[in-house]
Amino acid sequence: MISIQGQYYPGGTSEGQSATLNCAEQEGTLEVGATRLRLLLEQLEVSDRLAGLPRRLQLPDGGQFITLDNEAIDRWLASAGRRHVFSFLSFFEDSWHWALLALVAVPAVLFLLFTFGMPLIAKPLAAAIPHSVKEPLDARILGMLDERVLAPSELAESKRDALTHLYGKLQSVSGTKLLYRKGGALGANAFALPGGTIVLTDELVELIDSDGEFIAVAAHETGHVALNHSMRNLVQAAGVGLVLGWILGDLSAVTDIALVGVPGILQQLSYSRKLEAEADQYALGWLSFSGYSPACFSSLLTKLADRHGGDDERFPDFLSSHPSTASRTALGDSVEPCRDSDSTSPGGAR
Amino acid sequence: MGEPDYGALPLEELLEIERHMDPEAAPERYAEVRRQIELRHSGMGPAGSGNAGEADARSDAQEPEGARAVFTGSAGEYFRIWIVNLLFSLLTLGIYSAWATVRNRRYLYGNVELDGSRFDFHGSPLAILRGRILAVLLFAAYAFGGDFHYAVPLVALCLLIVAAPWIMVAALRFRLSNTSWKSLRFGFEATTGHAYRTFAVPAAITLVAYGALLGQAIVGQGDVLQGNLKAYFAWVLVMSLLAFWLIPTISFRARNLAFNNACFGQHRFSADIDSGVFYAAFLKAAGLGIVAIFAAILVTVVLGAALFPVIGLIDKQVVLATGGAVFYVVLILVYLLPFALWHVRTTNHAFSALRIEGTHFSMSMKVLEYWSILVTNAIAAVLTLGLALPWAKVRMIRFRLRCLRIQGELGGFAGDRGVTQSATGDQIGDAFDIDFGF
Repeated sequence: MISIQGQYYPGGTSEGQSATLNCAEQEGTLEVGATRLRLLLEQLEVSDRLAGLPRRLQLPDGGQFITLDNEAIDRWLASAGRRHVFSFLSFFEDSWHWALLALVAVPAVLFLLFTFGMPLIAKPLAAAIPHSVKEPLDARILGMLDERVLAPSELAESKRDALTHLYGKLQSVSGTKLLYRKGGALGANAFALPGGTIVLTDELVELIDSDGEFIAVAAHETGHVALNHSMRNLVQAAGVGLVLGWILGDLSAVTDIALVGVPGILQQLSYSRKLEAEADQYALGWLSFSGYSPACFSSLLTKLADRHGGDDERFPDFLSSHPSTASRTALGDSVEPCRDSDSTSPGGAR
Repeated sequence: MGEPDYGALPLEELLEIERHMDPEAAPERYAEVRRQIELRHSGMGPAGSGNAGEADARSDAQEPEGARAVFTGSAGEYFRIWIVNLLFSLLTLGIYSAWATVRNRRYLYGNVELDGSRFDFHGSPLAILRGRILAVLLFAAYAFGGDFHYAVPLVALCLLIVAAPWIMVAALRFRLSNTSWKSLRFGFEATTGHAYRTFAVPAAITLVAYGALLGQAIVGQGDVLQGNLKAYFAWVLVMSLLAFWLIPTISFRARNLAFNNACFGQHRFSADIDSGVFYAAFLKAAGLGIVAIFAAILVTVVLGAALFPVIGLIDKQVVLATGGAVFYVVLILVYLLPFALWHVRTTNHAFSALRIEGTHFSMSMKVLEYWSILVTNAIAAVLTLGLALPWAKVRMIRFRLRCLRIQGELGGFAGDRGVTQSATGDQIGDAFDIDFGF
């Protein structure tokens, strides 16, 4: 017979009285002073065990019996064959071993979730965003850039036309559009906007010595458009923040920075590196498909890295938005040097 | 050395003694301490926390009299519960997070002991899950909708402003009606209509300010502020000036609504809160904030000048990046000071005005102490990537309870209350980090 000491609160009052619960198999007797109450276990609502907190037994008449003797309650419940769904939680929570395991497992699971799970989910979600949403974004972003950084291109009209013509012959993705701007603070650069606008800066065009190099950069940016990278990027960025907020529940402003901000940015950079690598592969595929040497890709990259003063090496990989220049130029390793295409029909398949 | 009279010590001190005691070295004394703790816990002690006031009065005549609530839990224990439940949340892709929230809250509430009885949290995980889904969607629109269209976060913000009074009432109802002490539930009796009337003017003004932006965004070419610096500065100036009236007014009315409509059993809390304290505290905090900006600039410049010969040789960009980071950190640390001043002044005042039947409260937090806890908590949380959060939370709860006294009769309450099941307001409040004052 289990006997449990505790406090009895009749329904609707804050006045507790000390009481003893004598437990038989499926029922118990609550002794409060001279009064005895018969309780049926099946009619009791027993709170889940949590650390050493008092256990609450809700009586059907609104009264409560509260006790600190968790062990005795558990023994009683077990002997009556009543198992709590959450009783296993207490077992994990009470042990430092399991807590330390969780300490290792939490970052590991987060890493797996973000590295493999998120891109998997982001891809179809991003694909579901209609073109009508993406297209107006181009004008807005370009308008902002034009106002602040970019200036009208100073390249000779004939040069631009020639490049656009060359791109037009190769273009396999519908809806992309080449634009030229003076880069200003952006320097030698190229970027693709969500709706399919690709911008090349004058400074970049001046670095280009051959058709192959032009194809390399144009194809890389076309890859970003064709593979819907800007939308995947947006979805992933939003996803990281939302998942952390969703799982952690209540965050405060300061901890936001530590828990969501820093890992969020690192995760973002890792996604960005992955997308850049995808676009690189796309460009290499296009080069070989249209009869140019992959070396064109490397030679332009080398020139770009030189121009930007080898920025790359100062930051470790995990702090960069692009894979390292060394690993990227290695992609274009080829015995065949980059020279103007002798292939008479670039993009021959069409 | 004689045997100390453990029976006369308050529970918090007993727990402290127990933590530092070596059971092997002094088994009898340890057993006596354990026995006293058990007695207090079961509410049958010769010196329940009701007597703690007497012990305090004896030990320090300066201390305000009255009962104190104590936190009986430990940071380590809370950490284990937090991290284990966090892992389960992750493994269930966040669905379990609502159950985790309930367990965390139950632990924190359940370890607050007043007059020999613990608080308890009864919220339903399913209600929290439903509320959280809605809150996350709203938050997503606010935080990331701007990537797609400039107006999306503004629409979300306007929705939030329009819904704010309802959110506040719903959140307080859920929180309070799911909290109990001595087997009686708390509650919140203000109606949503009452809240809308209370906030009509400040909400309308805020709505007009953001609604104007929204209208511009829809009618015009997009972001009106980005193109027009003059309009932008005019808007910021007007909003800053308005803030001097809006923020203290909204905070005062929210506290007033919360403290005068909260109930325990059949009894209602009341508080004669003075709005002047809120306006004065805001003015002082704003002044302190301006000083804080200059202090942050000064510290950055001095540090920069001292360190420039060292790092200046490396790279211009590194210098700029470090300077920016230093300025940012200093700004955050210093900026918590005006916030601390504002929070401590208004909270002390509001709690000291609070009463229920013959019981009244007094709160005596110190600005610098509160600030130092905020700062060290923030540093610890950042350095441990959030792992110190449970410790930080327990520390803050201990501090708050230490500053709170309850005078008067702690018995004789009665009456059952209904229970609110919807947690939507509660979760939106959590997602946007809104503090409703209780």
